[in-house]
Amino acid sequence: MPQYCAGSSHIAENRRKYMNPEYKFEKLRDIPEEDVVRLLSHRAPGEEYKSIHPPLEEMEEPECVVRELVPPTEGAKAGDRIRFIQFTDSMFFAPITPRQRPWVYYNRWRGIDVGVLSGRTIIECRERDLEKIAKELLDSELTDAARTGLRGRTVHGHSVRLDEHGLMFDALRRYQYDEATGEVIYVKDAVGGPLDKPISFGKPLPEEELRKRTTMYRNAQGGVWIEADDPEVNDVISEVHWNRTVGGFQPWRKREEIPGNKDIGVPGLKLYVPRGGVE
Amino acid sequence: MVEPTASTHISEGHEGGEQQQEEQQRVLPEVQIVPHRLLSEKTGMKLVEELKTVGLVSRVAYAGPGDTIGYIWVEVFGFHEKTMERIRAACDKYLPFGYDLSVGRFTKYRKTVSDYIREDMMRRLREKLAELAEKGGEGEEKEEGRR
Repeated sequence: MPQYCAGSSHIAENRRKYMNPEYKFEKLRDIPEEDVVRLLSHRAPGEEYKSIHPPLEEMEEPECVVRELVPPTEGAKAGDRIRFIQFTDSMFFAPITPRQRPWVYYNRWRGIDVGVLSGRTIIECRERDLEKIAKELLDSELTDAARTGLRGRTVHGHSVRLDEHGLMFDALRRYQYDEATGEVIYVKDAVGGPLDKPISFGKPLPEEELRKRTTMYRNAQGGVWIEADDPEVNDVISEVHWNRTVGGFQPWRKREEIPGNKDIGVPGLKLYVPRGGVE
Repeated sequence: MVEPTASTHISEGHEGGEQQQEEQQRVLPEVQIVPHRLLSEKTGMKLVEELKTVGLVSRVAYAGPGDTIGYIWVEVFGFHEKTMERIRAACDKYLPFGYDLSVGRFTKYRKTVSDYIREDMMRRLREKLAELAEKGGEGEEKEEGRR
């Protein structure tokens, strides 16, 4: 198996697991395809896909080796529009973090454009492909009902304190906690439009389960402390950082030749923060 | 972290009353409770009501974004062991997900310069509105007179 990510803790193990395209995501729920379409709100269920260009078969393409080498995705073949899906991941032990989402996505799917921001990750791709990806992601273990939000806009909330049921803050209140069943229910679609029928995402994962599944290092509330518990990961990050900033994009030069403080990484580093963090 | 946008609610404790009047000059210390999660109004008010009954409490204030409660301040007449114990017990009961307690002074106990400015601005605005209303009223009367 390729070495996707350094580290020996279960967090690193999770990262490697999700990044490995041969690993199949565990299915936590089953949202019908029609409901996925309604949640995305790019088209009405049953409506035909709109296109921005005729199907590739009907088009005359210029002679190009790359075009011959790479088979188009289904959406590209049909000339679909580019649509998007966006997720917000809570800092409080969401199953995956924004920075790791593109690592996962690029290892699994073709024809996508991923954008990462501090709290959210967007994928842009052809509508037909998007719906397949959306279905796979929403059903999988990467989506927790409470800590992951499907948000087309007004994405703020990843770092805000959770509410008393453990739900991430959402300014548009797209989802609610049903006290009778203990499930999280989406009452609005991704961009905040009302849904004619609410969609249940099932019960949120319990706290211990989230700690086990997460890919997040966090020295607080029972998380894994990267510097103390998994120093190898931090060493690799420091190395990459040193090579880029001090080394300045000169991969041909030997490390010894580059002047600068090479005493980097965690060994010998004094950790001033107590275990459990300061809050 | 979202700064509390809602106005701070202040409610008197069961004890206090006259005693508070006497001690108005003295600045009382506070216990700040920061729950690790935002409380709904229902749970939050239960906790606030319970905190009022722990004894030697002058008043209980709370604030938070929207209709949630994110901070609670318990103004006490001193850090007596029993009081602190009871505050902790109440918190343990309603906040199973954890909370932070700290002591000090966290809310205003006298007007700030901004408060004076705000008051002055409001006064001027009120005056101006009253003036405008008077003028508007006169105008209407005149119109009626013409008829």
